[in-house]
Amino acid sequence: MSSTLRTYGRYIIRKLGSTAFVLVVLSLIVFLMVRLVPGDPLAGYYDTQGMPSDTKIAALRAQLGLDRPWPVQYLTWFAALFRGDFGDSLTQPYSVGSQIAKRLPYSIELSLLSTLIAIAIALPLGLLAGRREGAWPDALIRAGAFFAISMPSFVIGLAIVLTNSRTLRLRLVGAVPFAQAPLDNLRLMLAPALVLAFPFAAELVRYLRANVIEDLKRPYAVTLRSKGLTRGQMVSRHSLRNSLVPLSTVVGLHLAALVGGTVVIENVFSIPGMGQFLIQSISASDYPSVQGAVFVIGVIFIVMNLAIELLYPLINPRIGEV
Amino acid sequence: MTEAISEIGETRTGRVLFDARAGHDGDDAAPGRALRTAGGPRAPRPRRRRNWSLWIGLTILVTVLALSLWANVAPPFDPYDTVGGRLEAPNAVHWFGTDNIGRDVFTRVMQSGLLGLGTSASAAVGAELIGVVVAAVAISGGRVVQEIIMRFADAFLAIPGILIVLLLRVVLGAGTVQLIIAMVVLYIPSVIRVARGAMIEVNNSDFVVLARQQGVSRARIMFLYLIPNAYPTLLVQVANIASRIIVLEAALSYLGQGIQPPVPSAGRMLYENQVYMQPAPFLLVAPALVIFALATGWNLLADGLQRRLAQRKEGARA
Amino acid sequence: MSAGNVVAATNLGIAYGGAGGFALDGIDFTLRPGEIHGIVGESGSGKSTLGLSLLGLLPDNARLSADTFDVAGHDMASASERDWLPVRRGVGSMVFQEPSTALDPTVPVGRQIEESLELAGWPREKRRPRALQILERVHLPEPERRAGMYPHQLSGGQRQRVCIAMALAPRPKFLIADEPTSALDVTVQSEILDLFREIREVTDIGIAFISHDLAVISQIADRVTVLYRGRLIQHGTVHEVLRDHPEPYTRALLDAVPSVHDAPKSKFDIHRTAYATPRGDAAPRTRTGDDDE
Repeated sequence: MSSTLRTYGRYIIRKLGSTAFVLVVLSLIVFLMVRLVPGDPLAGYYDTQGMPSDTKIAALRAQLGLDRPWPVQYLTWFAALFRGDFGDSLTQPYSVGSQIAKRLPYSIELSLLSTLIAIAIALPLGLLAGRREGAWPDALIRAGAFFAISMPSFVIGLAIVLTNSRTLRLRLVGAVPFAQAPLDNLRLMLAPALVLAFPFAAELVRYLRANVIEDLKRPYAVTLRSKGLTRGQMVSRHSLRNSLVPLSTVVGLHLAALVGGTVVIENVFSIPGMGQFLIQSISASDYPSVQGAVFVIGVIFIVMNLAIELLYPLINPRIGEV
Repeated sequence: MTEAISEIGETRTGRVLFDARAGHDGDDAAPGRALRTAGGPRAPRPRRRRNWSLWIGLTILVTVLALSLWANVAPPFDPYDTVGGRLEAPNAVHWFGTDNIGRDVFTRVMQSGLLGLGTSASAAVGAELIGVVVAAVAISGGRVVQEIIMRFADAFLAIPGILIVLLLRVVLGAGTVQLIIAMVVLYIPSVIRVARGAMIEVNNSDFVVLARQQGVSRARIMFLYLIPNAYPTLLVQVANIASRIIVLEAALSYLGQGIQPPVPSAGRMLYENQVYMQPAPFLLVAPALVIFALATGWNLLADGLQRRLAQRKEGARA
Repeated sequence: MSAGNVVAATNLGIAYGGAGGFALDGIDFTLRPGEIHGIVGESGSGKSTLGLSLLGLLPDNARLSADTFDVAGHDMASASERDWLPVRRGVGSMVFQEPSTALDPTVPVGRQIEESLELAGWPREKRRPRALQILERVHLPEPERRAGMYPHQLSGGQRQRVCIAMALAPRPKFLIADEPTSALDVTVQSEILDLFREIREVTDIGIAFISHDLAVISQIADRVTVLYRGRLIQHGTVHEVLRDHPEPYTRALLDAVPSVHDAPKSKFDIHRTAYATPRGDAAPRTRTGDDDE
């Protein structure tokens, strides 16, 4: 047992190490990508402040550290990140950190909600399709999954908005903070979450279906059949269990990828989340905002990934084989 | 990091639609094909099912190609000029109606199809070519090289694709070629991941080990063994990435960051026309249809290729 | 059918879909309580098909025909998947060749045995004690501890013991063992054979023991059925078939195995034979290939 623990300990250390490395690489990529953007980073500043004198620009430049070589800038920025300091926006009178703190909850809520919906849709359908491989329910479900994957989600979003405007005329666009009005918040989030859930559910369905089919082809399935399990029992008692571990990985990662990956939907439904923030910052060439937001989104993904990898051996009894 | 990310990356390519079925090790059964199916929990009908995905996918893509070629070579109307009334509903002259300044929607939408097909195919192939070489270098280059390359891929994959492209658009500029380059850059990391997975198996196989022992050079092994053996998997991925690019390009254009006006783009038309959604919903149907057709075509093609691959593997084993 | 048989089939034929020929043709087969009935043949002889058919485990495209097909008192000549369930649940069970893949890797082995009991209708409170009891009966050391383990934590021989325990747990009337020792190391192989002999001594379960290995069969079987290309070549007691009056085909099989029929009861020969036909070579699975390997 202690040797198992030691193996796990070494596994943790290895994963932590590679994650730390990935985080550094991420910060570097983010920093460099933003730095490569042509044009004067202070261009946006002019617009809001009128025309400051050359000396003032020079002073600002020095104050922001833009006159120093980029490795120094990078290290300064990176060091500040550890204090939770993302710097100040160039074009707006706020700190990047406060903006992220305000917008992140919307994006996380949206991701969580759509993940829940996607699982609720995908679990029964995926298992059914796998169980009835080749039969009509399978064909129907697969066709649906194909549709959901091939149709951009914002088109579905537009269709919902359009249909709603001609029928129910509910308020679908906009958002209110959860803390202020939880019910209104959820009501407004439902449509965008549903739209995001469709392609997600489609991928989960395909994944689950393949897993179930593969599982039913394993030799132990014949043992189960010889014990007197029906095909339905084989799926619900064994294939489901065996699919849940890999499925949870996919769900976790997709969830993490949704935060910030929802740019377009946030736009369609006017949700003031991370995606919208990024679009605004990019079009305003607001370096610190873009850097900070992309970095935070990347960190969420990487940390989620790490959590999954650390939990994986604990929920997967087969770790002994790896 | 590795396994977990690959799961999500790989739902793009695979495992998903394997249709290969095999029984357990039933040692003896009927002669011929029944041998393969003995003892499966519910064994298959013996007939081999037609690879519909492949053929339907190809048909869709070829149809879009033909229509869009027609619309580009001999356009029924000038796509940039007012040729009818404003917001005409679909009719015998203007099949998909006209937009807010009286341009023919059919011509515009169909012209956008060629560009969509071209960008998706070229970007997917480009990403594949570069990614494969990088992956092969990673595998033959020893631990440190491999580790660095893979961590870079990991870091890239941690950023949502649309953000990377948006940033690259700002860096590279707004043209169509720049868009293709941005897509190539975006998909290189996932190609590296998949290609590495496909090649690593080959790399550890006896014949490669033997070749290495006999002093065959790294480059030779790479081009002679690794890449050719991974190629079927990569072909599937090309089609898969192409379908992703179609959807992504539509989203970018919708945000005003895709193909730039006046060149017609289906995604952009959705954005421009959504203002007229109320009086003229047909304006959204046509571009949505083209996007959907292209994405479905690529998707089905990937699915069909995947299935053919699985069948071939199974056939080789039996 | 004679009253004493737990399985009795006459003129059993099995054909695979459409054009495929007969996998089995005109087979008469009986299994009596308390005996080990060896089924021998080379790859493709139909011996596994025969074994699978006794629990209705044939693939969908297989068509079964028989004059009589009586399994534990049920007429199964035209049985559906649903009709087979009561037979599989506690009346007949099966042990497979490859113990490493025959168990669900994510469920502790004890629970898998309990599942068999559950399906056979055992009340909840009796399942756990019975599982532990049967694990002890098959000589799995420290059954209490091992019942909580996952298959990969056990050795190949231990896993096969678990499979046998799982098959025996609901006290079936008959057991089909499909090459149960072929995938095991030689020493383990003889231990498992000892276990089967012991089962015969202390229970009245009828065991159909399928093997390509005449040495094994000669060691363990009471009666033998020899199959070749889906047809019955010879049937009788182990002495009749393997020693006194082998048919030409049986003789050829015997000649392929060094010195078995000279001294069939010597343990030494099992070892020699096993060395003579190393597993993987003689093992029939090479014929079909295995996806998971």
